[in-house]
Amino acid sequence: MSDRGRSLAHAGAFMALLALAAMVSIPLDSRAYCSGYMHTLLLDAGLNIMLAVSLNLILGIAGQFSLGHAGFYGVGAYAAMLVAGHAFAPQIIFLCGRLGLPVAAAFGCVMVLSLVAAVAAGMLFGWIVGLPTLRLRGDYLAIATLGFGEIFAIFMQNWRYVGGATGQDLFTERQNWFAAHRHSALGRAVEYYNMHYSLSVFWVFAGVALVIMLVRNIKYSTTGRALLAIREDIVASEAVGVRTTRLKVLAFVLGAAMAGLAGGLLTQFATLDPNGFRFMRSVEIVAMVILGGPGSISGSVLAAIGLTLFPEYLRSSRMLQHFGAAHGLEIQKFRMVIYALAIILCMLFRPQGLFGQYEITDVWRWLKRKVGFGKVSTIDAADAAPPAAVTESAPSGAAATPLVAPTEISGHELEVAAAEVSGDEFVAARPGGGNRLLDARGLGMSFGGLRAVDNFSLTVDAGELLGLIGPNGAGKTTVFNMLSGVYTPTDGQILLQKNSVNGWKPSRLSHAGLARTFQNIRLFAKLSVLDNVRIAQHAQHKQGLGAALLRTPAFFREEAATRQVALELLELFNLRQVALAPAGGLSYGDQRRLEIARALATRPRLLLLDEPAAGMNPTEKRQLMDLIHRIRQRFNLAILLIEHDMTVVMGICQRILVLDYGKTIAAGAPAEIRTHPAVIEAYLGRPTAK
Amino acid sequence: MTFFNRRNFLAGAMFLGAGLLAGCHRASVSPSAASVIKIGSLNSMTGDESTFGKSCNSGIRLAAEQQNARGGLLGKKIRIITADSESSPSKAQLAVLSLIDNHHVVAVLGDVASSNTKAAVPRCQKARIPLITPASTNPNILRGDDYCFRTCFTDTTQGKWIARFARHDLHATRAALLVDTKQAYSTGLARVIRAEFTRLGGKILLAPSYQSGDTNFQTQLTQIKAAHPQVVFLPGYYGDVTTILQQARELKITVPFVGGDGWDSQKTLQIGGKAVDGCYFTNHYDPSDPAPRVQKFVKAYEARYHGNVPDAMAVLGYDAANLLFNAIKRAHGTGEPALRNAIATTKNFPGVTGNITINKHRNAIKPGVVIKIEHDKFVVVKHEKP
Amino acid sequence: MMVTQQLINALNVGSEYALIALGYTMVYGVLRLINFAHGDVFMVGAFVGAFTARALEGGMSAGGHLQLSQTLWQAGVGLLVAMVVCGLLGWAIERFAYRPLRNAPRLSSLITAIGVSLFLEYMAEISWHVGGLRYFGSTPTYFPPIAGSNHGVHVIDHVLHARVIYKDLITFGVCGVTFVLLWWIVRHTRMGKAMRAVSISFDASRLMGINLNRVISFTFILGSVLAAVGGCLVGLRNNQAQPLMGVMPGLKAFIAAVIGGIGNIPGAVVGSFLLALVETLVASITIHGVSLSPYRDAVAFLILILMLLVRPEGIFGKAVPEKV
Repeated sequence: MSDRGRSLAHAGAFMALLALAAMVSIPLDSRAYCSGYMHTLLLDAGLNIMLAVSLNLILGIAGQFSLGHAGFYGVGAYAAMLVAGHAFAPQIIFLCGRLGLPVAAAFGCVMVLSLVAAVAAGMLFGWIVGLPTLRLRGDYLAIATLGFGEIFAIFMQNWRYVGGATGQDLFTERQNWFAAHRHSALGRAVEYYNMHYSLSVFWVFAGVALVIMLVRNIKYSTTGRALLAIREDIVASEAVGVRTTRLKVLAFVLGAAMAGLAGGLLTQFATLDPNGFRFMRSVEIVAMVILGGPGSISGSVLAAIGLTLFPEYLRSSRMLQHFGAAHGLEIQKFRMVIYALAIILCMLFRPQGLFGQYEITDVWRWLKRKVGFGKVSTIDAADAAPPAAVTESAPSGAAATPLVAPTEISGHELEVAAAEVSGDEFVAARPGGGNRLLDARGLGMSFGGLRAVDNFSLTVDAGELLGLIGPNGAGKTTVFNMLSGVYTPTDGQILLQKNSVNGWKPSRLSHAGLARTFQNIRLFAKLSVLDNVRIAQHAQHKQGLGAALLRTPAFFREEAATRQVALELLELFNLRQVALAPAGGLSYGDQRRLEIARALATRPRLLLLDEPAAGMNPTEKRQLMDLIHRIRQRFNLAILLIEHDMTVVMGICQRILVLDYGKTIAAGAPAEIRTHPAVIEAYLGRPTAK
Repeated sequence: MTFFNRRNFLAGAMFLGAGLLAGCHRASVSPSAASVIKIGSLNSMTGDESTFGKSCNSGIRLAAEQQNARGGLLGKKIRIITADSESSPSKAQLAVLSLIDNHHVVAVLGDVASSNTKAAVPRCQKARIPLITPASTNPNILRGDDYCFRTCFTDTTQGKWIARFARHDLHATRAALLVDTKQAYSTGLARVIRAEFTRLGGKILLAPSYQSGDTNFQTQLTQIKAAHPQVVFLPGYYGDVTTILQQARELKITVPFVGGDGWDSQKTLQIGGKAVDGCYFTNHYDPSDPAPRVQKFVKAYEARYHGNVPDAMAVLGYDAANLLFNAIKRAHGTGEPALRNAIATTKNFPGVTGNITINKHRNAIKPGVVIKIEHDKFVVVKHEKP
Repeated sequence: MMVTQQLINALNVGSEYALIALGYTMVYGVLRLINFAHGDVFMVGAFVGAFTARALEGGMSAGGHLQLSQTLWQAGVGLLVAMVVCGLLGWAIERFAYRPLRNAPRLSSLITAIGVSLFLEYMAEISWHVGGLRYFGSTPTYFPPIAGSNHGVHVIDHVLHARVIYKDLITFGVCGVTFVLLWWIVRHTRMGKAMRAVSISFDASRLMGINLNRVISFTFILGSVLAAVGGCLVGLRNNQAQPLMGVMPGLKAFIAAVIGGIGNIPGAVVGSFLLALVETLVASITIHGVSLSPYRDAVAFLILILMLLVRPEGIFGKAVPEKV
């Protein structure tokens, strides 16, 4: 299928869903087939699905623990109430009446307006709340968002215009406006309509379809992968160029907007009550997400349905009542106790949530593989990305230029190369000089009273391979952290290609061509190897969130292209066959190499490697040296290397800097360093005077 | 992937099973048997308001049991079906719908809390099922809904009684008002008290507030003490009221506190102890009234419910249920407009809380009393006319 | 003086929060789990205290005014029984609801915590009648007070011109003693040392031969015992126990613990008093005749959020720079 076809198919699927919702809603809206009770229950379940799925975007996918989701739900509900229940709604309805429009159209018009207001209010409040608070981590964020929810409820409770503690409902409001017009024909028509109006389940089902579609499309796009990366490891995400703050706020605003929509729909059929948007309601939504499996949309949907229906099932189950009567128990008395127990038991039975992190489609695939029907290939079909995007291997348009020509690499070739070249040849292979990439002058870093690095200067030219060594605690990693933007140096200046980059965030530095690895490997352990690399390509994506949401042809094209590039990169590192395995399950050496691959995917000009050979055996080390050499040539990179292993450092570095107690004690070619007295003293200690 | 092991299947089956059963429970509900009259009791059995909801439900059930013991209604037994509104308007909406649609009740009695009743009213109105709220005093909850009735006085009436009593009988001109902003009951009543007291020439010096569920009220009370009011209005529920009064007395606020029917419970005396002495509240009836209809009810209630003394909600539920039975008798059935009309034309129905007449606004016209708490007893000090 | 009085009020509220917050913070420190059921253990404590005191009252006197010694005995035994029962409850909650999930994602145990919280609340709303007495139920249960504990302390009245009653003194005293005891346990006993070790690293502690389960159980028991003390104090102060009495104080105490730097014991105490002070301050402000008290919690929350933005790790929490 072409990208255009895929895009059309996607839009078609959505339309088909809406059409299905419309068709189902006809019998469901008719009292003959569906009682008012079931109708309201369906609406409630729908709203809970919307809330759970939207919170899943924030909590499950982006990993931000919000305990104020009900607050956004309330914001939407009250915004809709202000538009539909007060303000100018009566005038609109009367105006429509005068214009000869049917009353239903007038009501519909007000409803749509109020829903727009609800979404806008949700977004606005999501932004206001998210912008400052998303800097907070974990439970502190939970408290801040919880605070927002409570503040909102308290203000509504004291605002008489929207009913205060009594609450307010649209039906009564409308009844009250038109009481005065009971004698005009229009007034009667409106009153009659109001009396018989009930929100069609179509609107809620459409809302559910929209929310699920939106969150799904975000989840399987570069934005979604970046959000998952934030959940896994925020420091590493920044380092590979993910603008974490912006994305977190984005997820928060979108989640809040969807909760607002749910609130707007609630206003159309229920009484608003400030206490319904408090802490306990937020907790209920969190429970849905966690019970379903954080990150799993299908799980949220199912858990939301379960938690809505279960207490109602207990309310009306004849079976339970008979059981209770037979054992002399008044089962109704224990209804909510059973509900609470069910929550505990579900969690104990499935700690990772009903669906874990999988989706219903994954289960389908698993079944297919298990039962063995249909054709299942390993790498190209089982990826979590929309299956359609995977089956076609060649990118149809070159949205991103391939990093590596596919034919060039093979493991064998690497080994041969490693056997051929010796250390000295490496040095000779690439003379230094040329254009200056990095210029750090007089860097200093203090932690409290501790001076970790003092007056450190360093230059790196394009294509240069530089080593940074020193005993444990010398400040090497601190230097890396300053250069890569994790720390802002207390003194000194860093110039990257002549731009001062002091205080830049790691993501911005990454965009400027600087990549790094970490001493203690920081992969996105739960994500696949392939996704680890694809997340690092985040900055190269030209198609924005809009394209991802609408699934435009360009989006599919770009997804396929970046995927191709990622696979080629993995090929180069001998990791293609494990592309779909979770990164945390790889062997140590593979993890190290994957981290380098991930750093390369950001297309750096300067690569900072922090102890890449740590924990490797001599053979692996030799392979690594060779790999470093090769990637430097292929990608035309400058590399700054921290390493303890002297054979590695002396073997491949052109220039070496030695750090001890935060100070540079020596600099020069490997041969000079090897005999430098200060270096020997730093490593071996001062020769005792006789 | 180890997605489906035995445990996972169990959990999944629990979820799905619950969903499926809930989906098809409608089929399992038999059509209303001809031999019983089903009446819904919509009350909070769980949550903040459950103490009132349970009392009201007990009163309703007692009325039905007594009626059944007398041979039922029109030759049929009465069956009370309780639906838990979980102290939440959105659940009250579902609960009332389950009564109407699943249990096919002929009428609904409830809810106690005004905000829950407000959520239930449109549903009963649309379904043309009469709803009688025994105890929701907020005047705004049933404006245009001609299927919904109230058998207690409204906050407007009660608030005026409270304000007048403080102004005329206690001769107070300077008052403080302590409101529970979480309860529609309290805010509604406070509004009327403030307006009426001011109209009568009194002055509300300050009106601090609390939220039910708080356990410490000393901050607000310290402020009240500093303002030296002659009386403090406290329209709240007895759980909070007893705590507030104790803390007030501990701070040496000695002036009387005056409240509404939310105070009526034996717990006020037991928990409040000496602290509630000398305070006043308006009520629907006098529980210690020696009149046989009151004493008979109190005795029957105590016998039925483990010696618990009925509170205001219990007696109101009892009266509302009996009024409904009376209307069913007069309507000779539970037909749609007939029953509604019979309730609407109730005149001088002899309830435990006095004679009840339903007016054209579908509210009860009822007398009330002002009770003084004296030496661990409720003493009626004034009778109020409707 | 009104200001002095308000400060004393804040101390009262703060003590109540502190006793609950300590339990929250200890459990969090060791398990990194927000034990939402903690406020409900507090509630159970109040109920058990009330039942015990009521039983003793019924058994030892037939009407008439009870004497100080008698009521003190009732309350004391009630407190002890409540501590024992809540300790067992805390142990059971950990054993059956949290331990099976120790290696699961953190949020999973949060959900069981919420489940346990709901379970306890809903159970407490159901009343049981045994031997003509009602146990639990939505209707408040009477907690027999200590005779004369609502009298003012004259000396303080003279010196500070503010009222402090004996109940206040009991509250402050118990709170102070508990805090010192807790501090001693955590700082100067083997178990305390083990607790501190476990809070830093499960694995390292296990390698050092610490019995993880025992330490965690001990922490839960200790926290629940503290909650029982808090529950009984509030029950004695207000003469009643109710099923939902732990909800708001529990939430507030949780916030206080976070403000103080969750996991930090002095932080929980300081956070509690700070929160109480802010609440009291906001509630006592009147602008142009309009009291801010309806917005007390809202303003308090707002201040706390702002404080978190300035100091995200709480007052006493250490800003641990993430090792990169």
